[in-house]
Amino acid sequence: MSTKKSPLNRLRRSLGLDTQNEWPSVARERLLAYGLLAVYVLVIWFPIYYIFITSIKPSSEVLSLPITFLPQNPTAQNYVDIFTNRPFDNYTINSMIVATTTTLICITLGTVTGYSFSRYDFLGNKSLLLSIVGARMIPPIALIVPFFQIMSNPPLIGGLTGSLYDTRLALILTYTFFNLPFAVWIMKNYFDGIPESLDEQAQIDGCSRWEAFVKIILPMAKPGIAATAILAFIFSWNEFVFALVLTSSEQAQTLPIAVSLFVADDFVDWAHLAAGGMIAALPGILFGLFFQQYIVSGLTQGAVKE
Amino acid sequence: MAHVELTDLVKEFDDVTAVDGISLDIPDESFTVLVGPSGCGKTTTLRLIAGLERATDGEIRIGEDIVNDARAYERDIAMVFQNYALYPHKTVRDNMRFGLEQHDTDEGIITERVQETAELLQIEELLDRRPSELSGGQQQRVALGRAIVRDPAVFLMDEPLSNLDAKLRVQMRAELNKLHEELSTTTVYVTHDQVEAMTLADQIAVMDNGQIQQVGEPTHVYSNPRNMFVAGFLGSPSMNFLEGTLEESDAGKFELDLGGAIHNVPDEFTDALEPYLGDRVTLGIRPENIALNQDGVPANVHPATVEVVEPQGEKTVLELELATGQSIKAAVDPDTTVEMGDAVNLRFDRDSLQYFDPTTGKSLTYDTKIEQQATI
Repeated sequence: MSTKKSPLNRLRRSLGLDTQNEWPSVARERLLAYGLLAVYVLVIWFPIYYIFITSIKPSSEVLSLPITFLPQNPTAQNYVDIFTNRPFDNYTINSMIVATTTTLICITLGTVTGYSFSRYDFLGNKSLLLSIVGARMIPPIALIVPFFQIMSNPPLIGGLTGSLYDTRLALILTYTFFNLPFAVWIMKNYFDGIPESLDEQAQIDGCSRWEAFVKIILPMAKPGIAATAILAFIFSWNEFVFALVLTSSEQAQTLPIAVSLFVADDFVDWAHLAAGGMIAALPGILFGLFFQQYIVSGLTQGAVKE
Repeated sequence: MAHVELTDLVKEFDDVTAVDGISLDIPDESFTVLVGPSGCGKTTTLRLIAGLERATDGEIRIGEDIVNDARAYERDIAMVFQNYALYPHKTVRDNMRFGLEQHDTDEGIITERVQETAELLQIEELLDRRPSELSGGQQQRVALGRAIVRDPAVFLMDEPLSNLDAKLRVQMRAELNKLHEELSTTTVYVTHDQVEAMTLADQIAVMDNGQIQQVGEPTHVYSNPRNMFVAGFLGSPSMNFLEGTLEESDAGKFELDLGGAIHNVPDEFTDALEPYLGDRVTLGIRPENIALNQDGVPANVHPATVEVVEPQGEKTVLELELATGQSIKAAVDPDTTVEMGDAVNLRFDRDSLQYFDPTTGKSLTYDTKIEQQATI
């Protein structure tokens, strides 16, 4: 019956107040569960709320006590400031270029490599895959020095000299290094979950192997590609340590670095830092919200028999 | 339409020989079933014909062409996979269209063929759904439709009914028969289910260990197995085998000493069995060719005790123990009233007796029986 699905009935059932269909003790358990969840949701949203209100307070209010949880004089000035007094437009563009390029490289190479590992039984298949993923197990911090040296004096072909230090390319290469193994691994597992008979059916239907991959398998792998994309994008968007070491000016610095620049030796510009933080967080949140529907299916594909 | 010819076909995987030199002629418009236990090489054979595996040795001919080096997409074949392999992201219509589009068929012809095929299989109302919205039986029809719509030279089917429930399987079996009648496309069908093989095939090839054990019409193979493997594989419950020593009686008749009980060998087999006098010989008799004869006629009757009674509806299967200690199964009329522990006399139908060499498994009486059938 349609009435069963009304929001009121759903609420009654969720709270365990549907005395006809639920056990009497359910109401108590449900309330407890909702209470705990509410606390948890508050805990995770509070810092985001706090940085948001800080970003719309004038500097004077930020440091005043008692803390105002509802800004008394909300203002957008902080946002205007960071784009006028500081090159936040450059930082944002840098972040965008670095994160999107890294993501594109990772999903392109990740899908074809993952597909090969999944479908072709070549010599050394397993050990190569393990070594690719294994290399990623080394803590990134341990690799900072070699990365810095290589990017400063890259082994260029033909006696060219030059430096990748303080370029977006340095960050793109570094982030691809860290994300590609994951991309290959996720995509390989994703393709494993797609029955090989589909490749074969496509071949029987008249496709070459490459056509079968592009026309049939790739469209089916969208959730896996989305999951890979979001992981690579968020990693590149958020990454701080390598960006700090490999860049030094607004021509390559990304948002996390830009935000940290509000921390001076003797003074922290909280209001502008918060506004920068919001700008830095927004695309990540939007990207995440857009792709989150794919993440779970992308990461768990093949984990259970359907 | 085309005939398919396999000659000395071999497929080796690393250290396993999956297909071990088989030769098989699949006539145009025939429905040939490759049947055998799992791991016998039947699916590999099918995949070799499809071009999904490359033959290690031998020759595959589809129509007039040797296709050994042709890729799957260059062979004019359609295949139905065990798991149907429907493209999950495409609608039924697009699933059916895809193969035609790949072959650059005219749009008008594609639309027409898809419509015709959908009508033939009664899946018109499913055309705009996705495979995940279909039941197993419907998916099966769509998979068939996708093969039929292509109008290929050969249909290849890899256990297409094994994922269906029992009732649907029987129904689809009948429909496959009807479809083949209508389309007459050469079909190679792989199954491990001997009932499917018997009911669908006009030619059956029983495989084991990568080799074809016997090829022929289903009923012919059933009644005249060339060896113990074929005899035991076809039929459910399977053929009884009783081993004994072949001896000559004082009256000059051949008899098989089953370890206490004596079985009289019909005279027509005397010539064929003569070289085996004094040797071990295995008698084969199908459960349905054993009659209960409680009154007792002295000749060729074996006393036995009923151990298990399994009523199966259309027949009742009895598990019995012969006086010699050997156990044997009989399929009898469901009205038969016997109980566990009853003593009965078994009579073997003399026309259905088979004799095998227990070491090689070869039938010793195959040639004699074929000659006999020819003279009748």
